[in-house]
Amino acid sequence: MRTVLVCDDELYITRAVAMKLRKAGYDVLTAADGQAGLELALASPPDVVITDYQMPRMDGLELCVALKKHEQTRDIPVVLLTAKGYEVDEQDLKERFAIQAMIVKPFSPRELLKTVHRLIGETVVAD
Amino acid sequence: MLSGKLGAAIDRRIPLVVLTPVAVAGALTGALLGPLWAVSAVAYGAVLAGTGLWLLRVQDRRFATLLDGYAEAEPAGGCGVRSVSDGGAMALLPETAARVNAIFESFRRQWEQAVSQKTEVELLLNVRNKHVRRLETVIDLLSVPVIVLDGTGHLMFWNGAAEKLLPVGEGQDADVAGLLRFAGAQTDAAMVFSTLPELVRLLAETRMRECAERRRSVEMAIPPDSDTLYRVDAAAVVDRDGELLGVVATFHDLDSVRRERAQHAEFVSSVAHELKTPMAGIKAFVEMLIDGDCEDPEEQREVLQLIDAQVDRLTRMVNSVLNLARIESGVIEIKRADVDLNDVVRKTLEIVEPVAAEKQQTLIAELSHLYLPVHVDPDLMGQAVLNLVSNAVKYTPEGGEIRLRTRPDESTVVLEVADNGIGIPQESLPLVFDRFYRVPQNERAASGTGLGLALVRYIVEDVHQGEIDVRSRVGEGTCFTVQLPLGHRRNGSRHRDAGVHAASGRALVHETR
Repeated sequence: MRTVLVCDDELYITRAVAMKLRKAGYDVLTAADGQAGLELALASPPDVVITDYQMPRMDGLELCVALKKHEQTRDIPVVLLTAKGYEVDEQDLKERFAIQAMIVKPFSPRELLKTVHRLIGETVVAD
Repeated sequence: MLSGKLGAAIDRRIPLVVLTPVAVAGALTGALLGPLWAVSAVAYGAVLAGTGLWLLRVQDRRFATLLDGYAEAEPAGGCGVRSVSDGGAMALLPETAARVNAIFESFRRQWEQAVSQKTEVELLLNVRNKHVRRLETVIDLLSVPVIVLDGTGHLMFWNGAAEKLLPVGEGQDADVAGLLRFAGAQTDAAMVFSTLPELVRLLAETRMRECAERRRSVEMAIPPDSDTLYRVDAAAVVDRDGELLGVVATFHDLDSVRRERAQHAEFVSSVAHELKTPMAGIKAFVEMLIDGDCEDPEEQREVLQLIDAQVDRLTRMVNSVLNLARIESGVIEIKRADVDLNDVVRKTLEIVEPVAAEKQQTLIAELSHLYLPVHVDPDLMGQAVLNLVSNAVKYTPEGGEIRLRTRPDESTVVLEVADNGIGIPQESLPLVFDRFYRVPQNERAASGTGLGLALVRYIVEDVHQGEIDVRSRVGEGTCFTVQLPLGHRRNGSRHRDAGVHAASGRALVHETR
């Protein structure tokens, strides 16, 4: 079973994402900040990381940088899930932090699921 | 003999008698009209006196001719009066008296005219003084700093905004400050503004330039080492003949407009960001309900509750933004009442207790046992206290402690909200009450719009004439202290305050009395 790590300080966001992904057959790990997310990722590397931008302790971009530093997490695709839609240069962020996708809040869980499917390169059929 | 006596009398006495009122008229007119009008009054007196002298001279000559007639008749030895060829001296005397009378009459008329003119001038002067006073008050209340120099480069007038911006009277050495405090003191602008050489140069150049070019603008930083850029417009004031009367300079803050726009954009962006967060939850859950992702009734119920909570959160945020806008713009009616501050605090505690309990925080209320009389709007003050306590809850880790204290102080009632939370860095302390400001180091600790403390300060200081202060140490905690005027029915009318301010004009040139 494929695993997705979801990091967001808003608990109901992780709740919604986790609910959607679990229905689609994924195993989901959740963390309330980048630091906790990094620890989880290092302990058991997920197939995809979905992270918020603004979080306490370690933000989404810092998490990206940290993931690249470790052999076991270096190649994990990252989805940035952020409310900062108009304020950031998507292309620039993707290139600088090796982010595979950026989804702007409010978001469609359906679209997020499609992105995860695409990044994993396979379709997991929901049960 | 007669000729000699009379001649002397005519030569001396009449001019003395006649000229005295004329000169007095002139001098009095001059003296009464005051120094400003002295020159014209003296000139006027001189014209009066001159006219009198000319008239006397004409009469004098006639007398001389007349007396020559007597003299010619006398050598015969007799003292009898004889007719002279032009009609006789005796016949001419009453005519002369009448002429002298006419001269007096003419002087009297001119004197009366002078007095009435003086009254008229005084009236005009009075009107002009009132006009000047009105203009001074208008200029004083302008938000644009204005300074006025006289033709010799001395500082004549400045308004309240200029006093705030420029080192007028303050920050100068004691001598200059002392000089300035005396009304009518003439102080060299170059001396007052010695710390702003660019300004001194601009003012001097504006004075020196030819009429056509007597308007200049220069951009400069005020205070000199700061990065607040001002455009200073200086214009020479000239009369109709091109004579220099003075220089007027106004100061325009170039950064304020830009700053205001940036702040506004920042505010809109920050509010939008805050609104997007609960919206994201609502959108996600609703879409999942539509897609049939939550078929289990228990799960459905949970999702609906989550949506409900986010809608409430959204409503609270929109309300807080609207609240600030409405309170600040004066749309909200302030309903003051005589209450016990302890009651206001108790009501707030009821709201915030469950939130603190959720974070396992201890909420301690050390309320004074005394009745603490204040004249406040209980809802607004409750909102202020709520903001302070919820901030304490937000920026204090789980298991922390929040302490509320109330006590009377000399003429105030004091409320303290103290926590042992993450604290505020020293450099951020002066900024925490600014709208939209968020402590960068603490931004991650909790979400917010940066409006909470701005609203608290507005409610405490602007609405209730109180004071708010903050002390903090990073990692140890923060304490906000609110002081409110003690007592019921205090008439701290802000209108009265405004009146006092308006009356404190900073004119150096006062009305000429």
